[in-house]
Amino acid sequence: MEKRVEHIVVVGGGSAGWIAAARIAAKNRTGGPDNVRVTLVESETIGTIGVGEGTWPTMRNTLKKIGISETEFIRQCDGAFKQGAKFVGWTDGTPQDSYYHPLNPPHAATQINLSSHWMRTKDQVGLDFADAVDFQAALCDAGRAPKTITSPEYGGLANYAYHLDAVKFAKLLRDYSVEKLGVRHIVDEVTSVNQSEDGDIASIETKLHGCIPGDLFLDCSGFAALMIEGVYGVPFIACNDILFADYALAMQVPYERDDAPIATHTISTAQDAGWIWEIGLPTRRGTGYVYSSNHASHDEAEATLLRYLGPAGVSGTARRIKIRAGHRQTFWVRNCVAVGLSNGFLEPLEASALMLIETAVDFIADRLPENRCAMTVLSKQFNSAFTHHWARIIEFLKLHYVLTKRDDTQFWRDNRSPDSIPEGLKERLELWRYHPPSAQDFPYHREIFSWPSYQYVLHGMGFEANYAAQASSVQDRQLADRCFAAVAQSRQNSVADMPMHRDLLNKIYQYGLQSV
Amino acid sequence: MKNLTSLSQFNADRHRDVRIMPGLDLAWSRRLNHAQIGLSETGVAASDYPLLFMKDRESGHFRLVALLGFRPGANFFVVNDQWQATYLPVIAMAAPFCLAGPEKKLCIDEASDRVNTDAGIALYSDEGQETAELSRIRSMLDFLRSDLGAADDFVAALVTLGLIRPLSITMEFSEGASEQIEGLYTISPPRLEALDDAAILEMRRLGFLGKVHIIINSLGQLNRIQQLSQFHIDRKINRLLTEMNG
Repeated sequence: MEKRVEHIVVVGGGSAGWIAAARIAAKNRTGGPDNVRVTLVESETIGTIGVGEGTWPTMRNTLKKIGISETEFIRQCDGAFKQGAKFVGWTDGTPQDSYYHPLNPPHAATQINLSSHWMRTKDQVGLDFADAVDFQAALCDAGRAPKTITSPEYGGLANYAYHLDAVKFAKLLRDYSVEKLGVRHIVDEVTSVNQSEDGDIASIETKLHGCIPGDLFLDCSGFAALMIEGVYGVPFIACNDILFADYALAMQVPYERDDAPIATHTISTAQDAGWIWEIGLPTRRGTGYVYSSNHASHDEAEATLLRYLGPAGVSGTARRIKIRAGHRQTFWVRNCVAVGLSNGFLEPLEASALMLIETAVDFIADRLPENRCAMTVLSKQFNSAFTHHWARIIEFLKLHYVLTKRDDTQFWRDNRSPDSIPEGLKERLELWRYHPPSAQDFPYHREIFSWPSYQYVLHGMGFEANYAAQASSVQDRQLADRCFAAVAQSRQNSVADMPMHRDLLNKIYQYGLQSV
Repeated sequence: MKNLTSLSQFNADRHRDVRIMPGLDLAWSRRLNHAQIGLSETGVAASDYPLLFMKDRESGHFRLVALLGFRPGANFFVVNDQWQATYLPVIAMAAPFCLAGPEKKLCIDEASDRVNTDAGIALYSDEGQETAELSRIRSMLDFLRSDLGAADDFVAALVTLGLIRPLSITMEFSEGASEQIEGLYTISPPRLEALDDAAILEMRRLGFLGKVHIIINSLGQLNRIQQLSQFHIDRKINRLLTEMNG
């Protein structure tokens, strides 16, 4: 009989390692004699990168599956609600240039594609696409939360994700995994990796705890890629020919006042050689300049970040992080899966890092290979899914750069150079001049960025398209008009009904949220 | 529930000349679609009303309530200017007095029809002494304060045990029309069944177990509100669908 997969060894204790350990342990905690065991080995010296501080709405499901209450999460990770992203200065760089990419899909997206109807009416109505088709941009503008203190945990009026303190998040996951889920936690250095004759990883050697054997090994060792590269030498596919940013300069700054409003969206502001992120936690503003060192020197980058921050930047210290844009050629080799930065990394323009960890961990935890034989088939599926995901994410990030009309610096001009644009994206952009993005453009059933995301970015950035020739029945037009009217109503109601973001967070500290 | 601008903390100087008209504050009661109740009211209140839980708007914490109607701002039990029930919640008897603020201080709704300065029962004698009426009111509200506190402890125990679940109620009218009532919660019988012996014993020891069964069984009174709906909504409810999530 095939040997069962019983012992999962996770190497690395950042967000990736702990999400993986917690999800696998929570999913497979059955209490029987042939129970799955999870061991996580992390070195004290490496530490977490600590910049992946924006999540996707998927994080709500991940936390729920692990069994952590939303109240605890908010309290312990300095969590805040994120309802989307605001892109400032990406289209033409003029002072009024900004658009929202909210997390809510357009109104009635399963019944009607509002692109052509928005175009038909936008000159009379005068609303941005995001405002015309959904109320969430209005909530972001007003600094209103997506839910109230009477909403249950993980539920709300509007779709939402989180902003969080990544270091505290890893700690919460660690404590919960060890105390509640029975994950064995070993702080030690991995000195070498032992392979069996067939090439599988048999065990890892550690400095103090000796040899740790396992059936499935997760490489969550970050950029070090201890196993996927160190053992299997899987090549890294760079994509810096498409996405030029190769550094991030991060700085955390305090609010001016303790009760200052907290943005309920990520703010991405275009700069001369890249863009600056701003993530509002209750305790601080996290910012960082993502830039291309071919287009700006490190000194220029620092000056740009300090100019953005103004007086707030005086007290902060900046930390420079190398961005090696790209991903592995394969992600699951034999009994070793790369999860997290060892799998790949891109600039955090659409907060894909934690989401990709969740996607990988969902795959592994929900169908933990029964035995070594099943693992081979599952690894093929995993590799093909991730090859697809990376291609699509790279294209979607590039979309933000391709649609710009900015030509004030070389960075923006280079970004529009045709040889930097992936073929698949070129093709679809050609199509979208005449047809709005739709579900049929993305046949893969678990697409990371679905067609509404493309709608928000294309229309947000004023992509020139003509859908006037699209067949549109009277009924369609009437339905669209009803949708726009319903959105107008919900824009008003939601802004009136939802509390200010900081007020809600304060209430959660004081009273907690109910689980139902 | 109360118009906050007319609500003020009870104060001997400010309210020295206030007189209270006997009877119910009907104008206020008829707009009440639920009444928060104290733990000791559970048994008697269940003889008329479905007992449920609703979330406090300020804190999101569950409160034990008697449901009085299916629409906001309407007490279905008030018919022809009479509250048609055998038991009236203490909170309704006490109006225009109530407990408000985080410390649940004694307050009075100065705009109430029962508040008067010429007719009615005096709260203070001419010499400025508290009358028997005022001490009756004080002791009623002191009791209510501790009884609401007992209900909160009871609810907290239910929350800890994971017994409170959302109850969705759908009113079905003719021609396929329907209306859903949101924001109500009840005790889940399957979850109660699944409790271990120690938890059940502990509830019994705290005097909570009987209340739990009363609350579960009081759901039948939803039909009473359905019957009374004919006096308050223009459409006939053909069927009442209740569904508990878990």
